[in-house]
Amino acid sequence: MSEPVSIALTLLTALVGGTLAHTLRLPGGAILWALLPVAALRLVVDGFVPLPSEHRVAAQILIGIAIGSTLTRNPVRALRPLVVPVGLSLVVLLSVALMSGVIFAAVTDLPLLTTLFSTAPGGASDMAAAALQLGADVPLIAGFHLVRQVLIFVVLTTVFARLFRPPQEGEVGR
Amino acid sequence: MEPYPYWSGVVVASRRTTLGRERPIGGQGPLLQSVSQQLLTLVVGTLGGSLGHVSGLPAGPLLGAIAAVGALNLLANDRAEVPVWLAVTARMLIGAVIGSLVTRELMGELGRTVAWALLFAVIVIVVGLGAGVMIHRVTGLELRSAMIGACPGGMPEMAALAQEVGAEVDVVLGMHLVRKLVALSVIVIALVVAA
Repeated sequence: MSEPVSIALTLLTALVGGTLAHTLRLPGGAILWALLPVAALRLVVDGFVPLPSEHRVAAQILIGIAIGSTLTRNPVRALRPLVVPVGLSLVVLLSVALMSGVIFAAVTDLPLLTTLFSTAPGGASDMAAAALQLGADVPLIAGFHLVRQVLIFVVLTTVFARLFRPPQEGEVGR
Repeated sequence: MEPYPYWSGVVVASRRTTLGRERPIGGQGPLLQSVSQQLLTLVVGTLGGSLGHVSGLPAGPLLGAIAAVGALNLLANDRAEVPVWLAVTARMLIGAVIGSLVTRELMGELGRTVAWALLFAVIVIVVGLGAGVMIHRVTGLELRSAMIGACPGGMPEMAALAQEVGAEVDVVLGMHLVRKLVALSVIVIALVVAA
């Protein structure tokens, strides 16, 4: 399959799934119902190539524009009353990540450096770039982070669909 | 209140109609004002996002666009405006980008370790949700915001999800920003020590 055809099919699938979800107000919304059919299609059909990085940049810019137009507070300043509990949760998360990396290295034949980078709770691209410098297994690390990000997203949208009602226009959930 | 600041070059005057309504003159009806605002927001956001991208910062395009449009909002008295379709399109594109990373080759690369990847993902989800509940109970922060902020997902995806479900996007962004910075700092220290 040629790259333009792969890209066009991917975007079309995402458009159909996302539009249906938005129109029918499916739980998980446009993101989840764009993600799932695209991922399923790529696992079932051979020959797809990943979307060029420009698409991720464009998506981030569009999301940033949408969010920036509604922001009323500086995000870091908004954390002031939350410093202690957020700090505590970070310490717990980092500890769990470190312990998991050590345990995975012990029970598998993977190098410790690879497992530590795989379980570090940082951005996938940042961890992969740092791993490249230190000679760790970058594709494996990228795979670990992808699984984490996709599963977190799917689980959170499912949890929210069950526990919370959809917000009304302009409402911040309580 | 002036709808546009003086330096924007947009001049809006109005006259009172026979029915007592204020009708804009000079070719700037409400629709055109809205389109102008949206265009300005898109241009400013794209510039900011592009700067963020070349800066090399983590999630640079996202943060650059947010900073630029947020500044526009502040300077122009809440005039940053986006068409409804933009946020939905952005979410579909994010979904497509993440979904496109899932390939048979990657699954093959993970091989037997996919079980460990899934196990670790489940562990951090449980820890993240638990931390979210703790933050909600201790600080009174809205539960959705606390959970999305505490779970270590990708920042653009979590920000988009927060907006989708009506959580406090600024708090969620702040929490993820701090997490990324802390994780990066630990890595940088490790790299320095290794060198």
